[in-house]
Amino acid sequence: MAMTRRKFLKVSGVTIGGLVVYSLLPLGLWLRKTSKGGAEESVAVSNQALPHHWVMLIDVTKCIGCRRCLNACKQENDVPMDLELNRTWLEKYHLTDNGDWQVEFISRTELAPEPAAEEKGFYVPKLCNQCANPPCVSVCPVNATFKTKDGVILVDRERCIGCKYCIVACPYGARYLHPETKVVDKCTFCYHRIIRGVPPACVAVCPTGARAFGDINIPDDPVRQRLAEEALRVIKPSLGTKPTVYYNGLREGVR
Amino acid sequence: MKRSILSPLIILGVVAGIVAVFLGGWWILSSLVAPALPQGTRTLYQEATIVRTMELPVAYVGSERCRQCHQSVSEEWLHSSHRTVTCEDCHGQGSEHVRRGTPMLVNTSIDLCLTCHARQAAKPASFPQVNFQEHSGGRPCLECHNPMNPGSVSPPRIPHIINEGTNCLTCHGNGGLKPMPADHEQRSNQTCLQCHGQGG
Repeated sequence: MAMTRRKFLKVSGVTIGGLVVYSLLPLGLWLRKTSKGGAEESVAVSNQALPHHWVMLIDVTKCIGCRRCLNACKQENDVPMDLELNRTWLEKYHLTDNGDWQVEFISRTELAPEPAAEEKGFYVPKLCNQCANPPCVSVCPVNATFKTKDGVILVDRERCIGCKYCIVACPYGARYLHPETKVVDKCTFCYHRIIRGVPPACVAVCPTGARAFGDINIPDDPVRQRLAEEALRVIKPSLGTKPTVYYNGLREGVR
Repeated sequence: MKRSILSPLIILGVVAGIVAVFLGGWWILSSLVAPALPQGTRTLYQEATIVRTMELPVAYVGSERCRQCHQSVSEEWLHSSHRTVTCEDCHGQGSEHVRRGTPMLVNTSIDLCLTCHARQAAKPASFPQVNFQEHSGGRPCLECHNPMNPGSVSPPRIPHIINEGTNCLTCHGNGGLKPMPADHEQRSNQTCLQCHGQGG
């Protein structure tokens, strides 16, 4: 039959109408899923939704770069002691002659002072930020890494295939490939300690109190109070990862 | 037979209907049949990982645990300026010692002290730090300092201001307000400040 303008309009109208109806179904599903709310909404709405909400606070003005935290972490979590692989590390920022910040990555754990240096600077302890919106979780092709209900991101050693996509995806460089297990490893906030009511190893050993840890679901938790009172910042806030590690004394130029 | 205008409509309707039944059924089944797992925990594999992680052994036991057996030294330490430095910071992790009585480290090297106290411009200015050679002239830290109570140095520090040209012997010589102890017989009168630093 010959195509007339009328027929054409009818057919295309029906087609478009059908496609609209077809697309409404997954849209409805998506709306229903997102209306359940993200992690931060749950904390606000109900304390029973998340039993814990772990947060770490790091005070850059107190860190003396002694690296006892790096040492304790490696011993606590079976990280190879003599390789430059860390679940937590230090970044030493020092001011160069032309006013730029130069970053030195400090990974070693042994007891020996650094060579004396007179440039102004500061130490920034870094670790996995246990982001509320983690890019590492969304890129895992086998769902080996996931976020627990108390906000800690874990890696399933038996599912991880070592593709390292999450290592690429993490903007903080928190993940590494373990040379023995050949799967990805990262800071877990010492999950095996915090569920026993003991702070993570790095927090426990810090001699100056530069690291603090708490559960902000508990009303009188000191970290929760500090979170409300102090001017704290996160690293790379523009990426929208929503870290749960907050810093006091972070300067411009820390990345 | 003339093809009806309705045939594309029928095809679309049938396809849309199948899709709707499939998606709608999935939607209903997922909320009714699948258990509502707590947010963030989705599969049995993840539950297994969480359990596996929770069961890992603890390596650092904390100073409170050391205190349970080592009470006297712990008392001294707790009242000293090192009270924020945990036992395990200097003596190493304690889990093996607690479990099996493996001896703890007693590290007397200057490197242990200097790891924290060596002067670095990047350290906060208020933190006690020294240039080792200038501070002690090469003498090991433990010759003067007790790590359990580092403030009480031996020899004791001078708790008062010293003005230029002050003669220590005015007060600390024989017949003075506070004479030197007998073991100072061998020492020369010009070298007091070499051992006795300022600040008490």
